[in-house]
Amino acid sequence: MSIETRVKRAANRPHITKPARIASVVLFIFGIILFVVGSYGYLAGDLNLESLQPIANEVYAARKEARAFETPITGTVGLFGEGRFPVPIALLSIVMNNAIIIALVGITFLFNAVMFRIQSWERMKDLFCVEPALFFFLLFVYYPIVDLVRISFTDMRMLVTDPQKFIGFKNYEWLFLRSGWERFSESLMITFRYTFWEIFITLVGGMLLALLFNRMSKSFNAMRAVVFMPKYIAVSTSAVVFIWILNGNYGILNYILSTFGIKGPNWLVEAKYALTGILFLTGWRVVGYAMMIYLSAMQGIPRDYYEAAAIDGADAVHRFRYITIPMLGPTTLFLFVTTFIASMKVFQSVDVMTGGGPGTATNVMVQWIYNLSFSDFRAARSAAVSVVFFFILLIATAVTMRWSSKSVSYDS
Amino acid sequence: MSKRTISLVLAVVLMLSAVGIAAAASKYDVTEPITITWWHAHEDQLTPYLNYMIDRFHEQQSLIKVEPVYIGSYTEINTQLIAAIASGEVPALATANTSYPAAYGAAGITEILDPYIEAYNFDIADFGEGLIKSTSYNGQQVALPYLISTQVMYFNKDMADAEGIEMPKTFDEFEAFLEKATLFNEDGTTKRYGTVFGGWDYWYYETLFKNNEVWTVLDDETTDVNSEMSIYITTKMKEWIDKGYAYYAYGTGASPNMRQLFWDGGAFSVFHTSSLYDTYVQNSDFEVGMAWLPGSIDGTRFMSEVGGAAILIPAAATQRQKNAAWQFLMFMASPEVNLYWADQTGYFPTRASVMGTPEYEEYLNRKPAMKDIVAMSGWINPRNQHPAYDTVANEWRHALARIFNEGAPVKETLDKLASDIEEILEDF
Repeated sequence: MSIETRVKRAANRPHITKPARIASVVLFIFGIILFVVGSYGYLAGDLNLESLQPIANEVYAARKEARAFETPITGTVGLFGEGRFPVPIALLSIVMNNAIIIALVGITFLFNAVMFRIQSWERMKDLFCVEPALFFFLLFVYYPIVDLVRISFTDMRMLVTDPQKFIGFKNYEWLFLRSGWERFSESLMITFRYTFWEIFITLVGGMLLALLFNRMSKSFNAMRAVVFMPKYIAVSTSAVVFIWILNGNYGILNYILSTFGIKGPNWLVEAKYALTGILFLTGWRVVGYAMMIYLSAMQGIPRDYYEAAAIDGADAVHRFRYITIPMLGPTTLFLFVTTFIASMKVFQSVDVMTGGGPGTATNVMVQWIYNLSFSDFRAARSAAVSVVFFFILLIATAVTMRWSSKSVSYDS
Repeated sequence: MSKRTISLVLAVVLMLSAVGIAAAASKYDVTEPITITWWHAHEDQLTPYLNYMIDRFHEQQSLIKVEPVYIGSYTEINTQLIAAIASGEVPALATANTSYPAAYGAAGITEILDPYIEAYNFDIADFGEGLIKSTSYNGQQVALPYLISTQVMYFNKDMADAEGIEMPKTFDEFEAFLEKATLFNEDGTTKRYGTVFGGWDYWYYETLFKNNEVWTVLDDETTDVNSEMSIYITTKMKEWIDKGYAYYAYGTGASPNMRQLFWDGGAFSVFHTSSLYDTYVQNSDFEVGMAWLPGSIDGTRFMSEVGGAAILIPAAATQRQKNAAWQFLMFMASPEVNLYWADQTGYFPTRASVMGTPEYEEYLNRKPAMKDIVAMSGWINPRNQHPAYDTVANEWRHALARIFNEGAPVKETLDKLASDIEEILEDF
C-alpha cells in the first residue's frame, strides 16, 4: 500500500471520542450478557435442548400452576443442574418467553458497540434512526421464517401442547419420499395452472381493456372506475357472491346460459370446472387493476412514435405490435412478476369458495398448507411444505427476473 | 312449554343446584364475582333461546356472568381454539362438534370433568351410555353432551301418503324405495330424486356402511373400506346415482342446494341431521316426515351416530374460570334446559329423566315426527374415537365423490384409498 493511500485512509477515518469508546465497551458487555441470556432461553424453550429439558420442565410446571390459580410464579431452579446457580423461576420464565427479543437486543447492542468504534457520532445518529425499524423487521419478518424452518424439523402438532421434539428430516422424507409427494406435486400443478390463467387474464384482459378505455373523456373515466371497482371489494365478500352466481342449480350464470339453450355445469362442485369457477372471480377482480396500470403506461408512450409510424404507412395492428407492446414491456414485466407471486399464494378465494375441493381439485399450495395445520393438525409437516414452497417461489421469481431483464426494453 | 313454566322449573333446579353447591363446598366452588367467555357456534336463529338461557342463569345467581361469543362453524371454533391454546388465552367454555372431544381428550387440552362430577354428585348416568361415551376419552369425561342430534332421512309425507311410498327399513329395501320415489321427465332426466345423500360430510351416510360391518378404521389400525361389502354398497350407491334415482350432494353449497331441492319438490327424501327438523318444517309447504336411516341388509343392525354439540372446558383456563364454567355447564346440561333446547331447536332431549314427564309428552305432541326417532334412540352410538378418524373419513368422502361424480372405478379407487388410509394410520 502506498504512502499516499495510507494518508488518505487516515484522513477519512472518523475521530472516535472518549465517550464513544466508553459507550462501545458498555454496549459490548451488555450485548454479550443479553445475547447469552437470550440464547439460553431459546435453547431451553424453543429448541428444547435435551440437557436443559429438566429445567424447562420445571418452568412449564410452575407456569401451569400459576396460570391455573392466578398466582405469581414462585421458587428457584438451578441453571446448571440441581442447586447450581439458582435463579427465580419467574425470571427464567420471562427469559424463555422473550428469548428471541432478548437475544436480538443483545445483537443490536453488539452491533452498536462495533459501530461506535468505526463510525463518527454523526453517522451513529443516522444509524439510530434506522435501527428500530431494522429491529422490528428482523423480529417480525425474518425470525418467523427462521422459526418456520425450526418447526419443520420438529414433530409439532396443533393439538399437542407438550414440548416439541426434533425429528431431523422426517417431515421432508414424508414430503419427498412418502405419501406427501403425491399430494405435493398435485397441489403444485394446480397452483401453477391457476397462476398461468391468472397471469393470462391479467395481462391479456388488462391490456385489451386498457386499449378500449384509452381515451380521456368523462364517460370513459366513469367506465374505468366501474371496471376498477372490484379491486376495492374484499375477496371473501365477493367470493360469497360468486358462490351464489356459480351455483349449479340456482345460480345466475347458469340461468343466463340456459336462456341460450346451454346447460351450465355445477361450477364449484364438479372437479373439472371448480378451478374455472374460482378464476371467474379472479378475472373479475384483477383485470381492472391491470387495465389501470397499462393505461398509465400507455399514456406515457410518446405520440411521435405513432405519428412517425403512421406516416411510414404502418396500420393500427402494426403500430400495436411494434410500438405499444414493446413500450409496455416494463409494465408487463411488473404485472407478470407481481401477479405471479400473488397468484402462487392464492388462498382466500379458494378457501371461501371450495376449501380446496371438490376432492383436491382446487387444493392450491397455501390451502393445502392451511389444511395440514388446521384440519390434520400436522403443523410441522405444514411448515416443511411452506419451507419448500418458499424456495420454489424464490427460485421462480429469480429466474423470471433474470430472464425478463434480458428481454425487456426500458427505452420509454 | 311457556316461558313462565320454564322460569319456574329453572328456579327450582337452580335452588336445588345451590343446595348441592352449598353442600359440596369444594375447591370447585365459585366464591367471588367472575365473568367468563363461552365460544359457541349457534347461528342467529338460536340467539334468542341462547340469550334466554343465559339471562335465566344470571337471574339465578349473582357471581358468574357469562359472555357468549359466536365464533362461526364448528370447524372455525376448532381452529380458533387451537390458536387460543397455543397462545394460552382460552375461553372458559367452548362448544365443539361431537367429532372433536376424542381428539381433544387424546391431546389433553380439555379439563377432565370427573372430579367436578364427583364433587357435585352430578348425575352423569342420566345421559345414557352412548352419549357418555361420545363425550369421554379413555374412560374420562372430557365434555358434556349438550345439543344432540343424529342422522335421519327427511321425506315429503304428503307425497308418501298420496303415492303409498314407505320409507326403507333396511339397505335391501332401498332400491325398491328409490324406484318408487323417483320420477323422470319425458326426456329421461330426473324430475324428482328418490333421495339425496348428504355427501359434504361423511357422517350423513357412513352408517349405511357401518351397519353392514364396514369400518373405516378397525381396532388393529387397518381399514376395510375396500372389503367386498364396502365395494357392494359403493357400487349400489353409484348405480342409483347413475340411474338418476339419487343425487350425491357434495362440494360448495351442497347443504343449502339439497334443502332447496327438497322444498321445491325436486327430491322425495334427503339424508340430513335431526337437528334441522324445525328448519325443514318451517320452510316446507307440505308435511315433513322423519325416518331412521336404513339398517343392515339382514335387518339386524340399525346403528346411528351421535351428532350435534358437546360443551367443554379448556384445560388451559384458570381454576376460577373452570369453576365458574362448571356451574354454567351444569345449568346448560340440566334436564329442564335440555328439554327447553330440544323444544326450541331440532335437537334431542338427552336426559333419561326428562322422558316420561308431562312436558316431554307435550313436546312429542308438538313434534310428532320426533316420536319415531326418539323410539330408536337406543341405537345411537358414539362416533369413532380414533384421533385420525376425521382425516381418514374425509379421504374416504373425497374418494366416494370421485367414484360417484367423476366416474372413477369403484374397486381400484377403494383399493388405493385403503392403502392411503393405512399409511395415515401408521403415521399417527
